[in-house]
Amino acid sequence: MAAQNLLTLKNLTIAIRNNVSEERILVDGLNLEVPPLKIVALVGGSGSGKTTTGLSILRLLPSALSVRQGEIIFNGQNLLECSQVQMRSIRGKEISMVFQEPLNAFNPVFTIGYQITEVLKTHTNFSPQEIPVRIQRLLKMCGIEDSSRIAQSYPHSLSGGLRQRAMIAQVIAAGPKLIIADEPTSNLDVTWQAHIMELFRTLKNELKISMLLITHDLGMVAHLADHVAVLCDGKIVESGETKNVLEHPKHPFTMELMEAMAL
Amino acid sequence: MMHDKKSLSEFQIALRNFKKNRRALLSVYVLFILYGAAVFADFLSPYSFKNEDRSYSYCPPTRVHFMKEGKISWPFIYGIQLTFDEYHKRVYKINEAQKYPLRFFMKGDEYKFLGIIPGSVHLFGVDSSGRFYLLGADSRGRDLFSRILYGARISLSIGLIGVLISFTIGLIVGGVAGYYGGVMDNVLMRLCEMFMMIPGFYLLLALRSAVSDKFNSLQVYFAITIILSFIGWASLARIIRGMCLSLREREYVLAAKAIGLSDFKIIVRHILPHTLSYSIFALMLSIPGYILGESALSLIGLGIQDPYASWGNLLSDAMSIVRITFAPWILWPAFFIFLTVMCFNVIGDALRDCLDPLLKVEGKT
Repeated sequence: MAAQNLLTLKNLTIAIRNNVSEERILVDGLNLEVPPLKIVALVGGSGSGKTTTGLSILRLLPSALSVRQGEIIFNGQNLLECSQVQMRSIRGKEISMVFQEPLNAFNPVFTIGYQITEVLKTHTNFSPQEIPVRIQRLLKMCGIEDSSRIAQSYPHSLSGGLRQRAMIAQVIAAGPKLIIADEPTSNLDVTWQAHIMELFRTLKNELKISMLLITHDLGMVAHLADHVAVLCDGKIVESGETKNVLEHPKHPFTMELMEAMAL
Repeated sequence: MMHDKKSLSEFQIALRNFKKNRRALLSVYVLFILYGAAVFADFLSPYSFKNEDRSYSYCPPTRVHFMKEGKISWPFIYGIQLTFDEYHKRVYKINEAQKYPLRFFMKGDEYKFLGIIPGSVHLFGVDSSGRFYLLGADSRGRDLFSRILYGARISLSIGLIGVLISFTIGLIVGGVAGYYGGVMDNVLMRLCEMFMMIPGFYLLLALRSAVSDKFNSLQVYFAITIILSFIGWASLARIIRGMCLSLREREYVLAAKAIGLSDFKIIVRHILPHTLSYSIFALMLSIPGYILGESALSLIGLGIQDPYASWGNLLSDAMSIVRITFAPWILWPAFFIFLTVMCFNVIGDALRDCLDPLLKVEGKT
């Protein structure tokens, strides 16, 4: 185990508040570690609490959900104790998030370039002349060749794969240490999935970014993740190095997932 | 997928659709002319709004002649004299002995263009010994045409400024209430309802009488604008709040939070722009309300005071049926109010058609 983990979730418990009945636990005593420069995958079926866990790290849970117990320690700092102002300087700058469907995650009324500019203006000190140059670099880094045209395009006029690349360019714009990727490829076709996975690996090596990969795609986990944690009904049922878990699954749910993959 | 052209924004698409609507385009041109006339009122009007000659009280519109003794000549007018018939009724008699040629770019009343640049050149007029009333004269013998032009400045600008103020308030209150929800939403919406509860016109009267009656014309102008926008924001705020309640659940709002934007930036940049398709045509459709509101206040003497002109206080002359039968031309300001309100409504309707995506789909099937 690494001496200092980048992100540690300790006994994280998230519940839904319900006015009518008693509260229901969505994530139950979850422990997870993301060491520096590693890709950790959080695997589970729908409704198992993967996305909820991801959002809770950035303290962006919907108002009905709340963290009941536990700690979220990032770089030695408990995020649950941070003020809203502190959180704002962490979101996008230290930890950023890739969403499942970039069409929804981009605001349809602004160009891609504008939305990347927004991140740069919020978190960096680039001068107005430097920003366009920086945007071109970011887009190129994410494998977009025609970067000046893409920067001037609106999200709806791009294909899904290009949009996801542009999304990743936006997410890495301020140089975060950790990316939370919430099912980043599930809406893409197979070739684009391979491209995006390749891109993630490059980013990890070149920009020294760690990742928490939230997915149900074990193929992607096998290709990309160093560690994997399997989440079932809000509890981690199995975790360890990817190779060990996938080759010798112990928990029935993991086996079930792998069988479903094989079909 | 590959195309060389820059992709069109939603508003560019809407603009393209708008240009196909001929009625709306015509309205835009008419409004353009009206607003242009208001801006250049000093130059376009033959007289200043204060220039009066009581011996020409309710003088009828002057006829411009183009023919002299069967031959085409430079346009001219005849002099007019006030006489009384056997029942002591006023009769204006044309005096063919006096002839005044129409002059263009002539020197006349001094003015300060837009309050800054001094000048005295008027587009048209006659020598100062004669009087030229294109649309007739009012009770003090002031040129109605000139006064309508000067009045347009007040009547037309009050709509724009009022709408600007009330929409700023409405968008911010609605945005904040919808985005935060909860207690904030409750407090702000109950406040809106309090404003909507009171019948608008009486609230207008009460507020106008609450502010000082010793204001000068400029202060009255601003007081009216502020009072009108004070009444107008509540209904907009409620609708914007409803839209924001659903918009804040969109994923791009979550994404905007995830990149660390402040709440204010999220409301202004990521939520409110999506309400524009509604608020732009709501804005257009509410401008007439401000123009009519000012007219109503001025008509009953609570608005712009004589000698300053607005379309409303010009019409206050026309409150007696006797005067209308004797001098029907004093109804001209009503025509201009009608024209303006009509144009804004047509444009508002057209904007709704081309901005509302749901209506667009219905229109195609």
